[in-house]
Amino acid sequence: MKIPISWLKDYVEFDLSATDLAARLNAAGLEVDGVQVSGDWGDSVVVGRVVAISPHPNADQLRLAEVEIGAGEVCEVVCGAPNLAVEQKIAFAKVGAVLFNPDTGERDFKLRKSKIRGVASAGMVCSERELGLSDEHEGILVLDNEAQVGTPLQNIVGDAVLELNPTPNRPDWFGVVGVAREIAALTGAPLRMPALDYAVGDADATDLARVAIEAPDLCLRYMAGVIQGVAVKPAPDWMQRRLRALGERPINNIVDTTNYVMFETGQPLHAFDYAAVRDGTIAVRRAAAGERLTTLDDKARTFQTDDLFITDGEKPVAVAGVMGGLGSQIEPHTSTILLEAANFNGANTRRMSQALKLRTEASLRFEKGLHPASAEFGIKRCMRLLLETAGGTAARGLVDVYPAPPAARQVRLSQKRIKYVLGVSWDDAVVEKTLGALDLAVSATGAGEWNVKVPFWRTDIAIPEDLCEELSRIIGYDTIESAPLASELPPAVSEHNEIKLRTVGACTRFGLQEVITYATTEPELDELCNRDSQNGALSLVNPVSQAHNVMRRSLRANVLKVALHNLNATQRSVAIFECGRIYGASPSKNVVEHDAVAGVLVGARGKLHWSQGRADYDFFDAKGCVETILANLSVRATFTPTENAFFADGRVAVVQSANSDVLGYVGEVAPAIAARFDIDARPLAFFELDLQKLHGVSTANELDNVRYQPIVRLPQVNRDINLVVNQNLPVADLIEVLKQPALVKDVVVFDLYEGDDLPAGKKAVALRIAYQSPAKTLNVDKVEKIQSATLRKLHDKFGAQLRSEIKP
Amino acid sequence: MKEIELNSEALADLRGVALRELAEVGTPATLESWRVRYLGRTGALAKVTRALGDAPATERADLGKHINQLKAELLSQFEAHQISAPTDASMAKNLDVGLAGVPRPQGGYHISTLTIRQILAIFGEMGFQAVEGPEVEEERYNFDMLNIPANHPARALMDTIWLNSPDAVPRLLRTHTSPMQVRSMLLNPPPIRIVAAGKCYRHEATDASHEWQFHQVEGIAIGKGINFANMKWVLEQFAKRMFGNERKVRFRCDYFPFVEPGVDVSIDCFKCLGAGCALCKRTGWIEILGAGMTHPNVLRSVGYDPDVVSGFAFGLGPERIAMLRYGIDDIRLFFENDLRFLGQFANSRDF
Repeated sequence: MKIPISWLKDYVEFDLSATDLAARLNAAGLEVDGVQVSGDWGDSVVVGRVVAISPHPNADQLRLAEVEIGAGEVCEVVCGAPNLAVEQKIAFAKVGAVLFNPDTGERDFKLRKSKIRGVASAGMVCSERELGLSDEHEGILVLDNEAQVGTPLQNIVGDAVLELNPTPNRPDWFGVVGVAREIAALTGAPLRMPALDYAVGDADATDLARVAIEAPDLCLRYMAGVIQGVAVKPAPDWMQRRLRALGERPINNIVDTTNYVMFETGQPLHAFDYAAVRDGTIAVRRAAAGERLTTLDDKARTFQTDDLFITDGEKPVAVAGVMGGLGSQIEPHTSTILLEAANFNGANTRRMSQALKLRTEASLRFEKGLHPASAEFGIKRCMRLLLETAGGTAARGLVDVYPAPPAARQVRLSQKRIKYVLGVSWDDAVVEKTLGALDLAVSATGAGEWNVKVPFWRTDIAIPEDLCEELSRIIGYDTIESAPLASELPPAVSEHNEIKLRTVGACTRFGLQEVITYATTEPELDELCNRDSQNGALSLVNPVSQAHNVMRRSLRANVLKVALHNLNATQRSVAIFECGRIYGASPSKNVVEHDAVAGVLVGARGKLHWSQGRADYDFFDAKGCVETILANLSVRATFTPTENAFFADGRVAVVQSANSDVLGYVGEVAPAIAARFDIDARPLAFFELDLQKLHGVSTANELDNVRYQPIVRLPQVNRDINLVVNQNLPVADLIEVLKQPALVKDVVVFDLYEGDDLPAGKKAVALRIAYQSPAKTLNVDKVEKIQSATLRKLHDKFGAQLRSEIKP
Repeated sequence: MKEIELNSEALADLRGVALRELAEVGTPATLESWRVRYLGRTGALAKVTRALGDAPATERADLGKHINQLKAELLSQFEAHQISAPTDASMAKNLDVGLAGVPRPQGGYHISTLTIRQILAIFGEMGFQAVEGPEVEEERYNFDMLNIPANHPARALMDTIWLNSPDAVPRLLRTHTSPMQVRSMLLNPPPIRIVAAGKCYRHEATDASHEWQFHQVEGIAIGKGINFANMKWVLEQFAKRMFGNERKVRFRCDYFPFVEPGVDVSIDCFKCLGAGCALCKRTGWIEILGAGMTHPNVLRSVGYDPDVVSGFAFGLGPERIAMLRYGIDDIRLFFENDLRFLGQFANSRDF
């Protein structure tokens, strides 16, 4: 909301620069987004008097004006404005003045001596737009005749406009008077209220207008006044100028005056053409479903049952609190007006204006929960100004339907409470003075105890804490001395996200970059990637776009999209992971949400380097990630071949805990799915783990209570064997047998070979077996005995042979 | 070395030549040939030892002592060389030490995670424990129990993304982490002192400074005798730890329905030091968080007695903090996940 400082000064005297004022208001909680200063022209723009006008010899559209600019100096300038007239007082810009370029709106137009169509022009008669006062550029700015020739223009029209952003709990800050009241409280200066009294004629308002509220839950008050014999014409210049400074387009004196008073008091007003309101009857009622009305913006709109209408007893004439109807607007011939100042339920006004996609200055104010008492202030002020701007005779009295006036609020406050909330004590006198300056009526009820009567416009004050806020924001937060937080600490909370911290930590340590993607995804991709999910997808009522229509059921789609983005950005390889929420509707229709981790590894293993050959990430890189994460969480798991539509056939393992819970999957993404994501690179290694399941089986806590084991310092004996077995025999089966003897400490596969020099259907597996006894140095003969027994067992069970024993 | 004239000078010459030659030895082979030449069975020292018998009896004892000293010295010098000289053919060539080293795999936290960890660490030192909560939230936790009833004007400040709820409970994507205030208090009796980080969502058009998905860190401290002065202390400590000890911290009145009084907290601009620049939008101040004393209605909604316990809550945006700290000019970079962006923070300090 914009407010010119000059307007504020109508109600409160202050001697602060615009910047200082903005700082004071900001500190008090009325946010000032910016200050637009106009009129810092110095002596370069002055009041001039048009002495004579003559035609331009070479152009019909232009005229030559002689302008007196003080000290007897007269300049001749070329002017194109149609409204230029002799004896006018105008704004004259001298050569050298910097004005606004009317085309771009930038203040970069430096006035030079020039010739216009062959005639020298030494200055310019300015429009409001050229001066940056408003958008008006139809004609020149005509000043009040009182203005002294030669006076710097900035002394007359110079101003600064505050760009305010009031919080929604302060409807009073949506009017100039309300902001002036705040300044008065901050500076200690008195507030001058605008005049509300006006002369009345013989007719009685209650004879001319009848008002009925048929929806008292939505319309809390309706006041109406009548003025007969108005003359519809343009509003006075001063009023037009102020409205333009707020960005409002002047319409006519009646409409402009209602708008002006709304900006001044914060109370929306509406003037009807009395002739268009049948018998002066107003009935406020709910719309019938499907009922139609054409609003002032010339749009035919359809309404629903909780929409509120102002009607003439039959047909609607306005949308309550939002916008008037076209049929009852002020016309040039309008002679009697019916003025409305009402109060409508804020929540319903907000709902209605959202549904209609019609936010107006009026609805904006009602939405904030304006107090019904404000209607009286607004209508009286408006009646007075209408009589000034449009003439006519006001009917005696006002129609006022006010079914349930709320009682004035009283709030109890005490020094004890102030100390309790703020941790500070101010003198009683300081408390009383500060609240008093805000028009809060303070009366002492005991030592350091008060009863505070809240004025109607402070709808935000209801409890002692609200008063504490008033005190602290006006006296200043600097006066509250910081105090260390020394209160009792709660007991330790459970290790809720220990699993997540360990997982993320492990992934970053072994070289994956963390990514964070959207919680949502495209429905088709979600469906494509999660055919194995038992949960349904949760969809959104109002997603930001169709690409974000459902909550992701796994991290798969989004992580693959990030992989593609980076492959397209010519990354040699992508090794990323995400640890975040996945969501769904369980088969029993519960909303489920928990953490998961997923990683994708694709492209070259490691960076390009002179010492390293190119090898690409594959299944076993992803499996290594899973194994390391599991180790970090002290989880034992098995990897078993499985089928899963997201992964390529025969290239996927299910990760299961000791009690067969599925913890996740590791594999290479199915080519059809990779193609759907436009990823060509293969293999596309992928892993995912369910953190909730891991939480259930992790013994990570026990990891913190690790028990030390003595180091076995006895020598370890290594034996390498190269076994030839059937190609389809899982190596894990061999290892299981090899590990059976108690003295075998470890078995590692160090080479795998398949080739023509092996019998068909066979592979060679090279293994290193480490033997160690915890008690004594191993006897070589004993190792040989164990090993040959194991080899016999492997031969019997799997047909395994030592490669050295196979004839070429 | 046929006729050796054995005297002290000759031994000194021998010593000089031997040590000079040893210094020039460069390979194991030349070292070995040096050893043979001087210390071998037919080497120079063996020869002088044999020649000792011919020396005059009066000098014999001194010369013998001299020879033994020289022998010991050359032997120890030889052994010293044996250690330092290359012993392997693979080391015969000098390395081009300017070549790139073998890269170690290096992962990294997402910039948002990194910032959240830092924020949580600072509050952690002040006794705030980290908890997490759901992102798909019930309307009552996100709004009603936070003193934001239906159609409250404050709801207009947070454009909400609603869920097609599978049951009768109205659900939404949480618009802030403040529901965690309610959840933590419902779960535990006072005292409460927690921080909760996580994603939030608002129905907003995305541009360089707006994202519809973002993180927040929420904090709440409830207990006996906790007041505004305590809140001020905690938030000042945070601002200084996060942005530098020399920072000035400013409190301004602000409105959030779930606190009263409510404030926003700014620091003086660390770029222009308050003079006014583009970063602080010429105000000299940068807003970093919103806070306030927990509203009595919120305390009542979870069954706490506002006359017995009190406290404060605060909330801040890690993306905004990160943008300020690292000079990032477009919030959309956070969830685009371009490795050329994320990788820039891989070496940031971990918390």
